[in-house]
Amino acid sequence: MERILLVEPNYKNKYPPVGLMKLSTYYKDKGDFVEFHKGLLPKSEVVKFDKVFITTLFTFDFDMCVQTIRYYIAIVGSNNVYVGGIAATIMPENFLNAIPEINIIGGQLTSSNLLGYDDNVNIDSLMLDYDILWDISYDYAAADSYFIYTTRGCPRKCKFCAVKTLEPTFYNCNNITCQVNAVDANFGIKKQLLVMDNNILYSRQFSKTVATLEALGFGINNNKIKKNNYMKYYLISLEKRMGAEKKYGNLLSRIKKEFYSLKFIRINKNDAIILHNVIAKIDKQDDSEIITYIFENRDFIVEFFGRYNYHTIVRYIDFNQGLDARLFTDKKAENMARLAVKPCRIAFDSLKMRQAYFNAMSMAIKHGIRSFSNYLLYNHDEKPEDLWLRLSLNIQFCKDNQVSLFSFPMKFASIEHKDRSYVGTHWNKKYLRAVNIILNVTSGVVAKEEDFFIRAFGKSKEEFVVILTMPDDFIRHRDFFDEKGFSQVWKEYYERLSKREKVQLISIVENIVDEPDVLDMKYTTNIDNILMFYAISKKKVEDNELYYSNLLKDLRNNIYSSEQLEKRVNNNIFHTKTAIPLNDTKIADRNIEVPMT
Amino acid sequence: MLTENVGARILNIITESLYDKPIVVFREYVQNSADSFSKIDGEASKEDLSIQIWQKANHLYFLDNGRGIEQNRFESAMIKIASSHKNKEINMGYKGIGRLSGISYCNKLIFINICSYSKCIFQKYVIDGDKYNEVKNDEKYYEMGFSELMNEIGSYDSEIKGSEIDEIQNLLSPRQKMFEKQDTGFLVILEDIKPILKQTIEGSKFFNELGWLLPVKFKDELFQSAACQLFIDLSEAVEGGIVPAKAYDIHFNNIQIERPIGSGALRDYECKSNFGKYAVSFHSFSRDKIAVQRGNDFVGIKIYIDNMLLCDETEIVPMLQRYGLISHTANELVQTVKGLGVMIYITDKVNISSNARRTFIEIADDDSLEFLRLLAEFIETIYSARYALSRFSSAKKLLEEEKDKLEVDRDKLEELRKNANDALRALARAEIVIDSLEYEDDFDFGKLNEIEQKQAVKRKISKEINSKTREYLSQTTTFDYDNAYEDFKIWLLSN
Repeated sequence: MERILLVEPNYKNKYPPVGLMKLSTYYKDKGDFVEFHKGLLPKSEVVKFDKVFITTLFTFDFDMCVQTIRYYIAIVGSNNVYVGGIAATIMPENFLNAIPEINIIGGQLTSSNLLGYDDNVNIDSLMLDYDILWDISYDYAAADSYFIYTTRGCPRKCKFCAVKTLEPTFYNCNNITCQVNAVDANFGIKKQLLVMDNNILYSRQFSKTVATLEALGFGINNNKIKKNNYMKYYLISLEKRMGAEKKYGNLLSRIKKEFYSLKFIRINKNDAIILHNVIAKIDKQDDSEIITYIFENRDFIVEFFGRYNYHTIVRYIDFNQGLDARLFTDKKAENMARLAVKPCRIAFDSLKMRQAYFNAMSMAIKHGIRSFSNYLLYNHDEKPEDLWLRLSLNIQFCKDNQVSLFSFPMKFASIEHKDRSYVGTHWNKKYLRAVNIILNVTSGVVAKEEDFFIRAFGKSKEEFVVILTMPDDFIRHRDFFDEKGFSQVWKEYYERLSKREKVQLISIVENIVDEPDVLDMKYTTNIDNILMFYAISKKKVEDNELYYSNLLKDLRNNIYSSEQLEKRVNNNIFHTKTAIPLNDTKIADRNIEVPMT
Repeated sequence: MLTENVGARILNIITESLYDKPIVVFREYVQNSADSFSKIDGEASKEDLSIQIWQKANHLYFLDNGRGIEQNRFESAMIKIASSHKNKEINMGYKGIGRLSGISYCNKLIFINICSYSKCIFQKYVIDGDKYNEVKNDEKYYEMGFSELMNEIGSYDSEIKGSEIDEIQNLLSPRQKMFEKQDTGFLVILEDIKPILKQTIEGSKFFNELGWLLPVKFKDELFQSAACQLFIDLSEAVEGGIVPAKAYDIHFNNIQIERPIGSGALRDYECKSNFGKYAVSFHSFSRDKIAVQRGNDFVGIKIYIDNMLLCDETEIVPMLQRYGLISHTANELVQTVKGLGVMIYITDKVNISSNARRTFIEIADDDSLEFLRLLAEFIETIYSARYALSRFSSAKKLLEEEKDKLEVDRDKLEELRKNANDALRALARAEIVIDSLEYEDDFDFGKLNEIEQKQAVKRKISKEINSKTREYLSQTTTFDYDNAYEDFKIWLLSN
């Protein structure tokens, strides 16, 4: 029996490590000992394992992945560490440069022979082992989902997309029903079904796939089901773990949480006696006593939680990657409308796709799909103004068709970069920061409401650029600064800038976050004056309301000549510019100078 | 003011609201003594005048050898309120209420007018605190006029006779030197002082507090220091005849009180400047940073009228904030000004006067507001200097630690140094010319001595280790406490 350690570096992510979950199934089916860990595990634990599999995900977490891999190699040796996953597949050279002895298994694990076994199992097609997610304390936001592929790969080879590297061949998968049924049998039903395909509309079997998904309980009229009784599966897992001498601390924590979450007002007295006993034992913090008591009352507990979780839940399918508008046909839209899709995601990545996109939207609406959440790529090869235009077109479309549409601007991060610092040709750090601030207000989405859109993004693409240029805090607290009148005065000063000065302003303020010193340098009077607004924050205004209202009044009335304004700015707002010396002064007989030593 | 038309409760209002801190009794009685010095016209010179304060048993005494009160005015002066004949421009007090400040802090307040020390002519006026409390609890108190109240609780003795003279002489004889050239004076006795006043006097910083509060001399050592001219200037009359730091010989329990600024409390620069026509000041600051110096009491801003402390930054800054004159938060600015020492002496007593509590200036007109504006500008300049120095210092330190970046960032460092120099000039409030200095690579590890090298290396290692520890912990979710260091080492060495 081999002892296998599956590792995901400790980055933050929404989806569980699907590849490792399949590997777990493979090894457990062989009777091996498998454990999953997120991040670094102490050496005393790691040495108990024969092999370590480490997954990788985002390229911008490259450094953390490399450090994690090196740590495990230092303990068990490079021959026993295998690295896979998306980042390692996309940029194997970078990993090899960083760790020459690294053992990368890129792409899909279609045969166990790649791992040195001779049973030739297609590991990529195996069921996901959700049980390993209970090995750790981390909760994946999308863990309560089926993760299925009906196809792999994508025939398109878009330059910004990594699929051509990850899954170079497009083919259909046929094991959806088996996978879902197996998950139901072993771990209980899941709430969502995430279709992980990269371009499902290319599939010639799309109609068949739709029928399968309908049959699995994700049709538009058959998507209701009783909530999963997790306690049943927790206790099965707990029993197995104890038998195999596996760690169960994080699983037991989840079990305890279920008991603590009970609302006793909904529970009858007889049931409450046993449940209170469990909670009393949990409070005493003697795990063996808790476990003994739970297993003594196991039948009751499972049956009780079955009754307690009597709710019916509504389940939906999410085509996670976004549908390719260019491949929409009336027939496919009709098929799509048979499924409980909420939302329907259609990509609107550039203005070039405008016609195909709205055709697809119209077809979807025609067949009854009313809920959309569409991806809008930005920071790639289009200008900020083009993003505004796409958003604006979406708003208008919603208005005309009375549908729900959340636009989901997605910032392009080059897959060739090892961090998130990529800035597109027509973009800059200030604009990117500003879009992020605007989107933070609505958790990343742009809703269909026109008034909100105009307020947040402006009524024209020109105004959008002006908003992006505003001081960050002015964007973050628009109402506050508008109400006080600062935004309007800022705009007056902005309009005084020449074209060249506007460009210069951006080049200065895009660096404010990384290098606040840029505010201390001297520029033209116009630039110096407008930079004053970039040092104003809501907190400062709230703390010194009268001061700022006086300042605003003076600025608004233009009573300050540039020299006077500069003096006021230097003294009161910025930190380090020279103040005007007073007359009639005297100084002790030493020079004033900053020491260099 | 017609005292008979004033209600008795005025006394309560005065004592409770104007003199709510025990230490103010020292200010009020010293102020009255100092004012009585201004009326001296005999042979006594400034050097012969002094104020002696002492505590014996449970009593507190204030004695001066000033002019006292004219014999025929003593009684009326004692029973009237707010009817001082003092001149605002010449005298410290002028409101005529300060003598009552002690009433809240003792059981009996006794005023002895020393009409003639040599001839043993003394007058006495006593305010009975117990009696006062008794009257306050009586219903008739609310109907009483102030004069009526004083008749009830005060007793007047136009000329002390018999054994009482012996008692007074016993008190004065140890201080008879005060009366060698001066025959008059005044003695205030607070009998049976209240615990709160006693606690103040027994506080470990009390003597120091008196030193900051009262119009006392600078220490002699300051006149020997490099900045001696500054202290000489402040101790001499400015235009208009006002001496900004006019000082008196004041003793507490026979120890001379001095302003608690030693030469060690001075920093790299001492600069004298004006706040328009309203005040003169000096401030002391360091050339490398504006930060609190441990053990240095000369911190923050103190504003004086007649060399008597009016307020400090804890009152000034919030006031400036209320008037909308500062852009940063009050907390930030209070913290900032504690990084240097500033003494401001109001010289224009016509336009700038204190409020009734003597805790801040009275904001009555454009002049007082203008003075506040100048104060605000000065405080914001200190803030600017603090950050300019701090940014330069951080950048310099960073480059010391990462010498490889030195070439790349030299321009930026030079710019920050220039900003810091400019900010220092502004803080000095002087236009001075500094030669453009060549940037020196001032961190040559090889030239450091062994201890300095160790310190530099320790700083470098600590910084690296701290950063690595944070990184390691962000990647780790399960720990083996016993072997935690070993696990960290594996990670560290493998990376």
